[in-house]
Amino acid sequence: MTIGAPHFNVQIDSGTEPLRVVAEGELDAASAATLAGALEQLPVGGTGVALDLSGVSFIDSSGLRVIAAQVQRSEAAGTAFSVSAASDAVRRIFEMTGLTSLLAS
Amino acid sequence: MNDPSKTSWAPPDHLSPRDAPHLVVLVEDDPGDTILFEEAIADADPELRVRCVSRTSQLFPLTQTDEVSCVVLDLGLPGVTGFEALDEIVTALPRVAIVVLTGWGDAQAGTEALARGAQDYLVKGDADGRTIARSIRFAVERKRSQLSATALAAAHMRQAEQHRLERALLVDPAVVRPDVSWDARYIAARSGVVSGDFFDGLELADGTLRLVIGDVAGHGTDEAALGVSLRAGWRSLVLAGLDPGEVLLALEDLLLSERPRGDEFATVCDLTIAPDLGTVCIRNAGHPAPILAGRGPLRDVAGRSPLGIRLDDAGLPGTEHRLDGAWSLVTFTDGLFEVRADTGAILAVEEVPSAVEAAAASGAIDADALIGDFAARAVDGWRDDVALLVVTRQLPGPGGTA
Repeated sequence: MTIGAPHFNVQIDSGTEPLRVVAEGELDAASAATLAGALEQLPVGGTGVALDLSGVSFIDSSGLRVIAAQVQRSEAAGTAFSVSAASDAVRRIFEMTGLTSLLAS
Repeated sequence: MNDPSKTSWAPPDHLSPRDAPHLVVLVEDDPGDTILFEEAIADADPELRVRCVSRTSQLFPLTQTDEVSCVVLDLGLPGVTGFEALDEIVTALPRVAIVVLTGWGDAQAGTEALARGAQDYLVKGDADGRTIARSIRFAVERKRSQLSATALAAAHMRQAEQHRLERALLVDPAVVRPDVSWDARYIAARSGVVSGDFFDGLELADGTLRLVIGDVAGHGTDEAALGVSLRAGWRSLVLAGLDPGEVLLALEDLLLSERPRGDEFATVCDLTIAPDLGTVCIRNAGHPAPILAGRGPLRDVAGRSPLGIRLDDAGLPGTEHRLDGAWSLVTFTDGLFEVRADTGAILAVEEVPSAVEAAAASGAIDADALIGDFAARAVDGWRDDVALLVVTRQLPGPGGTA
């Protein structure tokens, strides 16, 4: 039984620099693969990626793992990666896990 | 409420429903026998649909387009020995029932065929339509029950494997001092898939207590296996006498070399309680902070990101907290609070301190009361595994734990 589980959506704003990826909903074990799929198919190189999490109400370790993988990919490609516009809930989870430096101030 | 101790098993959905009409394919090179067979079946059991091919090479394309329930194979096909054809079909079509046709006086071949994976055999010329139809129906049912038994055995094996992993992830802390008590709990997520939550504890020769709790991100046996490596690695590093500040950094090296996919990480919190039980040093790599009853979260202001996500070269010097008199603290994984409440939202770590206070009304933190608090709020069960460890210092004498 699932009660009130919000949908999860990923949208890529083509033409923005850095490439803006907007996620919305709950980023958990069930939805992490959706975001991973979207991030993995982005062009390597370019002007980098800004992940907008302002519409994300919850993120768990599966979601953090997708973001960590993107950090690795960006480092390997030498491009920028930032998490922008995190909601308060997401910001608190980044603080708890010691990942605040990934958040754009 | 879900019961995490129960694992349910349902038949796999590839087992077709019982009332579906069966498609039977006869592999037979003799046109006369083929016609006799078709007529006999049509009279005896019109619900069986029959197709005929003369070679096994014509059988396999047919199984791509149609759901074949049973193959009736003549062991006397030219060009191949009958058993070669049988072995080929058994391997290629593991879900299809097989009945073989043997020659006169060759019951030996029939028994051999059963040993090689056929469900039944018929002696050519000795079976009428009703016998053939009954044999086909029997073979289909027998195959179905064999598949169910195999699936069930596989489910049991997975369960046994999970129990083994759980035991390896969560050992009993090796602590003997009488003034400290330990209380550990582990709850499997509703999915039944074990994840990489782990904890361990040790009492060193000088009375120092070392304690660790961690969580490998993600669910599955790979993550659980990584959790086992980390727990065993932590224990080895501590017993080898490594400085507490170095243990988690060495553990991260272990994680980086052991992780199979390359993006796994683990949140880990390491505690060092001094021999006089008057201080605790917290070294935290991205894990929820332990909570001390009456005081709240014990944060590591010098903490860092999870092991496996190295954002800078900072070490883990730790943060020391005082512990006065009798005390009780709890460490836990995020599965405890990441439950969906009736508001629709998933709870955050900020919910834990007040729940700990409520569960510590009698002094020591009651592990079951704390778990029960979140279980009662969870509208759809445990989303993730929960590992929880309560450590309590008792003072001698009546009312000493207050």
